[in-house]
Amino acid sequence: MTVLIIWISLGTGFADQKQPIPRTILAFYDSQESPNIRMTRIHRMAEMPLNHLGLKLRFADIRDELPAIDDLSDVRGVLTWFESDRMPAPIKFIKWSEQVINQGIQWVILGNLGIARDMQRKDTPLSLINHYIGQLGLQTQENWKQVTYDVQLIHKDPRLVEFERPYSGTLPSFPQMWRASGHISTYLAAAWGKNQQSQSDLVVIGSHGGYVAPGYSHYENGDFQQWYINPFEFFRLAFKTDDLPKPDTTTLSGRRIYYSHIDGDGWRNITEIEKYKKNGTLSAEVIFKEVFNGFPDLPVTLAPIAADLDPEWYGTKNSISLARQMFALPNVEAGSHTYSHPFSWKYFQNYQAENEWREFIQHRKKIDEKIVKRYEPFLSRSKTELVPTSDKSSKNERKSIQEVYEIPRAYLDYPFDLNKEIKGSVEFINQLLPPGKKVTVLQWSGDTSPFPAAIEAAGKVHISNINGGDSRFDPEFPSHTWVAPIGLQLGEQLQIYASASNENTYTDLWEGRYYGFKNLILTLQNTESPRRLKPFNIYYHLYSGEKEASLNALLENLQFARQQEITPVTTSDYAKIAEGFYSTQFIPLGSQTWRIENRGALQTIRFDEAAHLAVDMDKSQGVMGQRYYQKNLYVSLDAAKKTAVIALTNNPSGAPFPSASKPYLVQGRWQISNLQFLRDDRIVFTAQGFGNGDMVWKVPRPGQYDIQFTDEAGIKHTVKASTDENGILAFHLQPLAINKIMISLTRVNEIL
Amino acid sequence: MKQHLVVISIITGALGLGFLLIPRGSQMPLMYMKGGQFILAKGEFEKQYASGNDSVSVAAPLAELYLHFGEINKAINILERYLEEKPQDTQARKILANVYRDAQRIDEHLIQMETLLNQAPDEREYRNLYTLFKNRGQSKKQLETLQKIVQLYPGSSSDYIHLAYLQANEGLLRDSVKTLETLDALHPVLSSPDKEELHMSLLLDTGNSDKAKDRAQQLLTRNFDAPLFVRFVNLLKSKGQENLSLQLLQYFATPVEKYTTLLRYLIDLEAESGRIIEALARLEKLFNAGKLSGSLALTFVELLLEPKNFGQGLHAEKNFQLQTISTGASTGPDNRFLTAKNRELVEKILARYGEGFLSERPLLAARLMFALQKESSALAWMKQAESSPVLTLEEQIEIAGLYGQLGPTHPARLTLDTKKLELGIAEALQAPGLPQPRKEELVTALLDLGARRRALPYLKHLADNAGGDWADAYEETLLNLGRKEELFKFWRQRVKKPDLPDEERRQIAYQFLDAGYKAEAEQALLVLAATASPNGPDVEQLLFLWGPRPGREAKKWLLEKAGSASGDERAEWMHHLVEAGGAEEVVALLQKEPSAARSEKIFTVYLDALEDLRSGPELVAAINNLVALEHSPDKLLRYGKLAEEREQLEAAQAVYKKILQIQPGDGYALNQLGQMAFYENRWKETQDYLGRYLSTNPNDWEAYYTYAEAGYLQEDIAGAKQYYQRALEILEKSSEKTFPMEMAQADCLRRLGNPKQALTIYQSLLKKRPDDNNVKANMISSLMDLGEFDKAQQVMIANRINVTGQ
Repeated sequence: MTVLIIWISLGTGFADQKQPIPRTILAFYDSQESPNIRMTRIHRMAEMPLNHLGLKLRFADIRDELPAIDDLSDVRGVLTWFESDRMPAPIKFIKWSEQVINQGIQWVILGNLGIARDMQRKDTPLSLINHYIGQLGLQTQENWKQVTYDVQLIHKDPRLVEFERPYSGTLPSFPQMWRASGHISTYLAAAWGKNQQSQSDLVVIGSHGGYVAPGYSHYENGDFQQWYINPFEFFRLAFKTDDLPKPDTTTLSGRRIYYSHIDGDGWRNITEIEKYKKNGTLSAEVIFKEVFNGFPDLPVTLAPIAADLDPEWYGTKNSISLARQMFALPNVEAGSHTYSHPFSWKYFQNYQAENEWREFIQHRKKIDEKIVKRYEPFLSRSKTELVPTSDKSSKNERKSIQEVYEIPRAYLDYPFDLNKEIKGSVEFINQLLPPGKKVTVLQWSGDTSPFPAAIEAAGKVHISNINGGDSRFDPEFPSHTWVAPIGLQLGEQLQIYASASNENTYTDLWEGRYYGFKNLILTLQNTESPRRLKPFNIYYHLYSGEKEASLNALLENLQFARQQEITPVTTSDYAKIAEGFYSTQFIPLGSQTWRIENRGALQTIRFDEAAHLAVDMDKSQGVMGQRYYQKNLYVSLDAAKKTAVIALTNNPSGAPFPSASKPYLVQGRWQISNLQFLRDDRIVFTAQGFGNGDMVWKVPRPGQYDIQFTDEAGIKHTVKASTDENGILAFHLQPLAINKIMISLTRVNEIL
Repeated sequence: MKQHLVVISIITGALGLGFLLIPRGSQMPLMYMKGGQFILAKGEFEKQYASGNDSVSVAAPLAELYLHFGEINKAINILERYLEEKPQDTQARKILANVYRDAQRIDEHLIQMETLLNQAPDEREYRNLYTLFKNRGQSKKQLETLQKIVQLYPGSSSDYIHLAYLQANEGLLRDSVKTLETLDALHPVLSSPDKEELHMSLLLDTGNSDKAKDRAQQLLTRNFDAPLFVRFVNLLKSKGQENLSLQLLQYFATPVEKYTTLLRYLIDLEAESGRIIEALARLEKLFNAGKLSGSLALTFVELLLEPKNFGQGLHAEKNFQLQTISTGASTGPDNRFLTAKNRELVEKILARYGEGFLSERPLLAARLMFALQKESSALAWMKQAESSPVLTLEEQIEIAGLYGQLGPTHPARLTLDTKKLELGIAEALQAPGLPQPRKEELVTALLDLGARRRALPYLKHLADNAGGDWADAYEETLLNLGRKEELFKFWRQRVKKPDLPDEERRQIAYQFLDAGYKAEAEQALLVLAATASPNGPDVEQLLFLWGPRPGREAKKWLLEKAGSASGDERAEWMHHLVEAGGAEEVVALLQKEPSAARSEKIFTVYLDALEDLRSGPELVAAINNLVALEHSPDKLLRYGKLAEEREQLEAAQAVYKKILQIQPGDGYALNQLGQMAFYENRWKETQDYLGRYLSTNPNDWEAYYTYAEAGYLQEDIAGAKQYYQRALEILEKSSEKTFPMEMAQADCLRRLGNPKQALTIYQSLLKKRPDDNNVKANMISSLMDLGEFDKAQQVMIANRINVTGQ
């Protein structure tokens, strides 16, 4: 019988060899404009909305060879957002674009076309420019409207423009463009002057892609930026994403994911908090007492800087002892915040110990002899000979580091060794952990901009990585543009960003307004509604245990978390979920059916604007539950099933809990997996989580249910619950489920 | 020390220093603070504050302690309360503003900063405030703040420029001009293209175009800046000031000739304003002087090749390329514009630059070669154009057009993917707001490519909107594609267009007629006939279509026409109406307006109408009405005759009597009245009228005969005989005798006692008309007069004539 079932499932879809739905956007950037991908506007501003639409990015430098057309099978669209109007080979690029568009790949241009001339300033013929934009249904004469006070925005589609701010004040100058095709829609158009030619289309979307005139996508003034266009809607239409289910990294078991992580900075700082300071208590200990012990229902990942604990560097017996106590707590996960805490990762990409010595160490008034000896083998000349650095680029690098950090890493005691930073720190911290616990995540330090080899080093020791992004969305940063993408793909390597900024950006880099972190709540609210863009993340440093105001702010945030409907997970859990976003593939099996492959730890698939759709539980496989939230349908997959099939059906009445022939999870605080349907009236599953196990199930048959489980001590418990009039079975369990437990639901009686 | 919250500004963020400066008075809490016992200190200060002591010595440290613990709203409350009492304390306000900012209460922060800066202006803070307003899109506040900055800290040129922009944005154009003038006064030599364009634009928009021109002239005289000039030209164009633009360009013609773009503008504007000769002369002069750049040589060639279209094309923005191309497509091998002189010039240019200078414009080159009848060279250029890696749609169309002109038998073949081209054209055609010429060219291109089906919807659009040749083209295409139903549908829609030319409508009507769509044809003809002459072919066709018995609507239509027309046309319409069975309507119409019948034509129609009236009473009524008003004996006579014809004898007699009132001796009336009185057995009247009649008409045998009969019937046999005799004489003298005359002759003979002679005539008459009962009856009478009763009876039996009936 088992054999037969497997055969049937193979026959009904798994044997299908259809191609995955393309999810990649090829993002062109100019490495001369933005040497660092992290600084490109596409990464900073566009990638998060694209991620939300289920899309991931592959960056391509316009200075490199153009990708082979055959390598674009996973590419859904091309996005350019050039700051200048030059590129090395515009004509080649235009020709290439034609091939790409002919493949059915969408083409989206934000801002400058980038093709007006080559690097020798040779103008691209207007006819070719028109050919390029003609593919999007546009044409131009390349005239710019510079003075704009007399410009009227004659057409504005509120669905797509004036999203975060109106077009007010002095309008940006713009190049004149017209629609040349009826297949495109204008969402913003301008007119001026007295003749018909004095018009321009500024935001358009057509069958092959879209265009936004320079200056009309967003407002930017120094560090302040806001969208004019609605990037979610614009990219949704321009890249035609409605057919794409969205791998969702914000939700688990139908609830918003919660995770929290601490960078170990400030471990050795003596707290100023009145309650503790008399005893010379370390800020780490304050966190231990106030947070770890105070909030056992909330997991937290603690990532020490190994140098703070290693007695060969700056560790002491006390700090090691404290670390052991902290890691012994069941809600505390272990991470590493490196060994020597690099500030500027780029500095170490092509590291020369000698340069570090000459640029930073030798200038110190007092140099420990031990340090001298450690560097000596790397020095080509005598250590006493002060040689000014001649390498120009290194000089510039030093200058830029000094502007922000003074030195390239916190501890210069040993020459930098990438292996030690990653593997070494993990191994050292592992020694401090109770049996069964291991370091699971590397939390990037400093500028959180690791180079690919550093990320690869973390992968080699089988841990995830996180940090960077610095997401903010509050009155000080009132825009989605400060909400970071899920992560950054650097070739084969993947850096996962933290979902919210730590307290540094709220406290002027820990130089004032120490209460500032309490404003995290605003970002958490803004990234929850009207779109759930990010998990609930509380990310901070141990030095938050140093000040009364900072500790109070942190505790307020934790209290706030307790009041929310969340599914708490560890940071490494989240990082793996985020990794799953990049690997997930959707193979279409029908108009509303997809096979989901390679999703890793990602267990939620979202369908936007789907109030009238529901999961067809009979036709789906590996699906555990569904929940509507903010007009979207969040589908929970069973982590025990590597591959899943989601089949949707219509829910014409928009019922909040659509009926199904099997019980399904609506939402719960714990991670549920391995769901087994034993009989119509009985299901068994495993659960793991933090805090009390609140759960809501929709069951096909109303009645009284027994919920049975065995706690960690081996004692059996039975909780009774009854369905409400909607067939909703809600209950509340109080066992400790940080380690997985098995739970069964059995219908025992009908309710009269 | 003055009671002042200044201390807080010092101690904020640097706890431990502040309290040293606070005046003694709250010793215990201060001691706690000094000892780092902030919880106790806070508790003590809170107690004091709650008890009403809100002096600065309590408020300041308490606010500071709240900030220390992160209780930011409590700190704000204290600061707000303090400022209510001491609003002039700028330091405290600064602190409150900062705390608002840190608490992310940005609106309140801005209010405090505005108040603060009014109290204590500070340039850096003003500029921060300006930036905040700008970032928040509060342009009015931004403007206000920048005005203050300019007022308080004048000197920065960029401030003035930004201010001018902001003022312009707010519609304060004159203020903006003033700001720029102030800037000019402060920095007389400062100039930037943006600023100058703004200034120029503002002058134009404030009605100072002369000033704008002077300013531009001055600027360009001082420093001839070609890019700025280009911006001015574009600006002037967008403001509809092409003349000004041309004036400026001509004013600076010498330097302008050195700059390709400007020279092109100048030539274009000259061409647009009909000064093609000047433009050509300018180019020729430069060419002869060896100063014409390659690209302008192209312009020169283009102008020589297509002067008619040149001016429309160059700066007609969107249509530029297409119009240029279409020109090529429409001229090509049969270029009509290449005059001998132009040919000479073109050949000179080619001689100087070689064909190579055309390499950037292979299509222009191809057209040129066609014009020079160098087909092989033209073909080579076409091939080169075709081989370009990327071709615009317009270029592809043009290439296809050039190939098309080679004719179907030419061996050269277009290698472009025509299907893709068709698709591209179709897509381009869907652009909204496409100008008509562009549409026409694109559709033509599709037709030239033989893409009839694809062209069809666009063709229809053009046919619907432009009609004429486009309608013909559409019809032809539909016919070629065998889509007759669509064709008829098109015609149906088309004839509804009020502005459709008559000729086209007529054609459509005939097409409908041919196809048997009578209703459609009728509609079309109705429109045509609405303005047509009643004798015109459209009306004729319409009447033909309607046939002899048109419907009510048709009659109504004719009636309306008849009602609204005048003169002879009216009579014609009435005539048509009568013909169409609308006599009643005509009569009714004319009865309302009897004077119309004075027109002879209308009168005739009137009579016709009356003739057509079927019911006697109606006719009688009509005639009576008419007679009452009519005074013309001639017309009355015709009414009389008409009534008579329709056997409305009473009416006829009334008419004749009226004639006698007007002309008592009117023979015809007397005769008719006599005859009618006879038939109505009024013998005396008969004799009276006929007697009067015969006095002036002595040769009328019938009157004599009738008069005699009247006498005979009154048994005045003797009196009657002379009249019978007179009638007989006349009849016998008559060389040609009609049947009634013979009959009367026989009757007279019989009355005068010659039944034999009479019988002979009756017998001969009966041979002519064997069925004539009158003849038989009279013959029987004659036989009986002769006593031949048997014969009479035989005649009666044979003819079933009741003798007594005689």
